[in-house]
Amino acid sequence: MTDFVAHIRARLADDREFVFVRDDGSPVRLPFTELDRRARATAVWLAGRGLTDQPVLLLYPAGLDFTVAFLGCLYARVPAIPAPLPDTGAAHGSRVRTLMRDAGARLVLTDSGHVSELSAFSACVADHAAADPDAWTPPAMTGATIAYLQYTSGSTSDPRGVEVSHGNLLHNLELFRLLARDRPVRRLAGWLPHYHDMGLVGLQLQALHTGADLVFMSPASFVARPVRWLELISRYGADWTVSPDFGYAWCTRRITDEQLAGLDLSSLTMAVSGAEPIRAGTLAEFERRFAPAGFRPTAWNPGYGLAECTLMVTCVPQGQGVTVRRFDPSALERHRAVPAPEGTPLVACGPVSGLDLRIVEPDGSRSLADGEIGEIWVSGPSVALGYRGRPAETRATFRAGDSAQHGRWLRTGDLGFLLDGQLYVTGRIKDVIIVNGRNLYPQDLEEAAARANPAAGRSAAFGVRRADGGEHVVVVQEMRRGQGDLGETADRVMDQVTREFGIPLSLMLVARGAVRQTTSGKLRRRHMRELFLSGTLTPLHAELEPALNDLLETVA
Amino acid sequence: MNTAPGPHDDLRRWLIERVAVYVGRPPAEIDPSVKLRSYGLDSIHALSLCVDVEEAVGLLVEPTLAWDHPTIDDIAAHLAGLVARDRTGQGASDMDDKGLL
Repeated sequence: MTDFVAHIRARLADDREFVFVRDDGSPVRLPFTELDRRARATAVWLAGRGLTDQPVLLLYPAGLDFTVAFLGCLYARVPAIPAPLPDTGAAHGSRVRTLMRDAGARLVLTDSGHVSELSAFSACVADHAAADPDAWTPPAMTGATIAYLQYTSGSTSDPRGVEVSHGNLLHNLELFRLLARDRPVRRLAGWLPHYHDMGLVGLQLQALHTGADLVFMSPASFVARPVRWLELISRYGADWTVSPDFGYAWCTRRITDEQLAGLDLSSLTMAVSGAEPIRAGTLAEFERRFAPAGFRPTAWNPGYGLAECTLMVTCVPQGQGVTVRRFDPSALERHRAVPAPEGTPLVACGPVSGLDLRIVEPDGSRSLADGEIGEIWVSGPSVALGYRGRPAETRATFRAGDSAQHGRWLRTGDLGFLLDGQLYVTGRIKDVIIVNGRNLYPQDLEEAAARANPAAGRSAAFGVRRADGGEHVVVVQEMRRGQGDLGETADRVMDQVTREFGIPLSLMLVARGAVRQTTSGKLRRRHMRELFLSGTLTPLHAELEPALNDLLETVA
Repeated sequence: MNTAPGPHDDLRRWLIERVAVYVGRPPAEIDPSVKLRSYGLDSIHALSLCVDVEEAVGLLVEPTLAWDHPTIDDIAAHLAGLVARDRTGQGASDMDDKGLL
């Protein structure tokens, strides 16, 4: 069995279903067999329009229509591109166009509720009712066939579409399935968006792959009332859930005693945490808070992964529990993991299994020993094909190794170390910033910041770790000419970025030439971050978040 | 904690308390005339604040409330206006004046 479609179709069962739970708690159910029927009809519709092998953008709200459309694309050998529904506003519309151009997509699919507001993109509804599901014949597919394109989310200026193959999916989902060991998953529950790799692969495709039910809800509904997620687990007796750290922390903070009293989490045997740094405090606080509801600490499965490796690289298997070890903080900064009883707690992200992994000196020169911090390199059948239409970036990221011609290693851009057979993640050398489980790309932030200030020169955006473990966005922007009222300018820039990305930020306006570049004109964001943190930048004007002021004081 | 506020001042006091909880600062440090983003309020908090308003005040508000009305003073004035309009029977929601679906 080399393709995902054949794999899941061999496991279709009447008694398995997808259940989307609406905000009012009412469920919409779709048995696997009906899902398959609609997917076949959608595939017939797509093939009839000559879209085989043509990428199609999927802009859907949370719900079952997405699942049908995505599966329809898989069945038709149409590489789907799941993306968030654009908000109203020019910047969001331009993101859709950027994605379409980059992927060479000519069609946008959506549901009937959004087709008119997406008319600017000639969006249409895939009418599965009009096509005959029995007219579907499986197109030729192998493990190397592209299944879908996972765009690094939110990227307006430098989008990269990861080409995930059927073989990648089958391999990674098998690794994921094996985490359950002798307790096969029966029912998954979650709220992650379907355009997020952990929502798509970790919930939707995992359910199909293992033949488990999926009970899910919209991300907005979770954010508004996080208890609804735990109610899904309670009410439907789910045994497996996935979330970034932020989701667990949000539950601990927001769920009231009254809400807690009605919960029963005793069915849960797997609570995967991934997609962003895992804070030991989040796990401990969640455990304490939800123990009365039957949550067991052995249910935790901290993991590490990235879209370039389909989803998962390492994860703690079922029943093993959490390993937290403490390391000397100043040694960590010098890239050494030195155990220290009162040091910084780090959560182990599981053993290496089914993939090759090594820790490499960030300049790529040599492999490092256990306990030494370096870049995490991964190799194996889960590693995706590359970035669509970007051979140079693909070579640099996916084909690293001793021989430049035949390198087989994926450079993750993440830093970590191995100790006693488990992976610990300590930081990042790539520029992405992660806030509440969401990847933010500095290019996008810089572009928005520049748009709000006509007198801007170069801008550099980077993330800094706050004392509470969360990441905070800092933008350093040059003033090219005419000073004007700098306070007003700063206000405008910050309003723009906050509105567009929903995040607070700190801004420093600096003189022309203060934002450094390499000789080839590439922004030196990490260098700017160091200058910022060490207090060596001279601001013309600065607006710093209070939490950051505290941080800078400790550094100074 | 979510006692229903009434007039403008109560709304403001209640909003200060809610924001203080979200950003983890004492209420005394929250200046109602300062933009909320400068306290580190993010989109998750902003959306949650809308839910608080819905539950405690009984008003349906846009999820962009905290960006459209960036200070506590602005939000309190906006909500007070909605409450007043509600009393005159024009509907307790700001959904309809935005031309959105």
